[in-house]
Amino acid sequence: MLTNSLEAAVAERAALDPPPDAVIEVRGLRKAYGDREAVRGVDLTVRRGEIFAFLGPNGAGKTTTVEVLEGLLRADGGTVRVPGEDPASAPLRWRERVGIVQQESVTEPELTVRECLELYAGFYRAPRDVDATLALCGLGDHGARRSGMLSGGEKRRLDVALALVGDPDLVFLDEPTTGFDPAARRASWEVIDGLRALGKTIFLTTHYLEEAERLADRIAVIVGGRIVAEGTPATLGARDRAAGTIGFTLPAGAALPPGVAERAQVAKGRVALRSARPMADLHALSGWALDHGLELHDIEVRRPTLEDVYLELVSTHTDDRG
Amino acid sequence: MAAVTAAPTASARGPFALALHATRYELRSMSRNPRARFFTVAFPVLLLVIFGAIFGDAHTTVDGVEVTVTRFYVPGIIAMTVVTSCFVALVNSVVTRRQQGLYKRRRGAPIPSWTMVTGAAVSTTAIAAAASALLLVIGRVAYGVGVSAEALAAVAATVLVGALALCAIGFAVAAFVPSPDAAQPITQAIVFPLFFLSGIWFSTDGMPAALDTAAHVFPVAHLADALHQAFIEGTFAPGDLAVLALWGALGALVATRRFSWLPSRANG
Repeated sequence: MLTNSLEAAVAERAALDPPPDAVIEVRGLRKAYGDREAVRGVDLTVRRGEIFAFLGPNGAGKTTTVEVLEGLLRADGGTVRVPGEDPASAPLRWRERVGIVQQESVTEPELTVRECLELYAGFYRAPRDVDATLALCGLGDHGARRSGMLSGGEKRRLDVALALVGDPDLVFLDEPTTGFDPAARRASWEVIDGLRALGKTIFLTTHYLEEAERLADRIAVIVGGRIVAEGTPATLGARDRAAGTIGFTLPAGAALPPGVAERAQVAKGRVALRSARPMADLHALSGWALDHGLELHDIEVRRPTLEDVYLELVSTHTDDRG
Repeated sequence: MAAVTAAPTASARGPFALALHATRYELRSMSRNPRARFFTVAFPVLLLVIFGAIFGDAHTTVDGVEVTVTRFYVPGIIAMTVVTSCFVALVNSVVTRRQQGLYKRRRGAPIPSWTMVTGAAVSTTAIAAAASALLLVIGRVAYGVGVSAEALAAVAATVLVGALALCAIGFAVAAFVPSPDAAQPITQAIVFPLFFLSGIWFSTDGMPAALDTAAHVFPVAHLADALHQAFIEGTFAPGDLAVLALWGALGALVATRRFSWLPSRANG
């Protein structure tokens, strides 16, 4: 497989020559639970100031990898450097620089939002201002409410506020918007944009491809404990070079031209033509349409979405899971 | 963006200030929790009032000494309160917080784990001590059960040793409790038989010797004995306190080796 050997070569190069602004450096990470290998040789590099999205189906090793990076789990093998330290043996001081928004976590339900922030601010030597942090996370008006009484979206914003109150350089966001309605999700994205503006490095895991596309500078996909693709939202899985789809409604009584007819799929009168060379196919189609006096009113060329690419990657690599 | 003029944080003032900071918020949190308020304060008071009303001025025999029933119940219910708050409530709270990820979040902060343990143990002990003081006051005011200064010192020392030992045992037991749902039945199954066998609700003077010996393997009987002795005779019970301390040390050892702050995981 050409892409895999290419990626291997790139990874090898990166291992020899880690970028100077790398905040997270992972090489050959392995972790097993009993005889089940959850993570089977993961390489990752995250640079300062970028939003790095980490995608993968449930059980692919995502949370395990993140927990190793957060210093909550000890790896079985490989090297891990998160701002310069091995998280498993880093001194407590290291935690001053790392903020964590976990997937499932509660706050002290009997404390108010403000008290929760004051409690956590006291855990750090140089915390951010509590009021400024509340405002940044859209909780400025909720300081006096019991944290146990917040809505799902407000609780999640409190999670983010608690991770930020220590003024970290690197923030882990583990599925920050799972279960949100679209409006709450957009509000959270604005908070994350605000973090980018502050120059924070963000390691984001999510199940929402739209979220990754909207926020991430780079994306890595993990399947079966291995990284199967890495790139920008535009280039992941060779998305930029992958075949697009030309679609249009076939006019009544018309027959598709040779060269197209064999490759096209027609369903409910609508033609879908997978095309690696859209210009050539469009040229052929427009010639055919003009010759026959046809007008293709609804013709469109659709690029594969990030979700198409992701699902393709997952299904391809799920087959060869050990 | 850190505030320039802010006073040094608890963390900046050192680990003891940090433990105190955690304790203060634990206390605030616990004092607002209706379940904690009921089981560690209201329930023991209710029990003392009910027992006092039912048995009134009846007498019972403890270690051969005949006393009024209320004089017997005040130290007994103090023992129960210490066990309820420092063992039952602590295990339930620790297991719930662990499963909900609250401890996992705390682990993400730059604080030594002993400050978390201290926060939980000291706040629980403080609540147990406050509830004990309340029971003493009710005993004095409602039933005229007075205590000498020496007896008060012995009761206070015993409550303190017992509370800390039970907190340590609580963390050890919590290490083996898989879920919040299991915490309540497991802790109740442990303490209920011990309450009956340890002379908390009625005198065990007439109990078969073998049963009494078995009960004294466990810390609850020693806590009850030490409190009865402190309260009724006004003296320390060094032997019982030593057994409590030993159990506490054992609990601390097991907890250090087996306790995890992370929730039990379903998958990778």
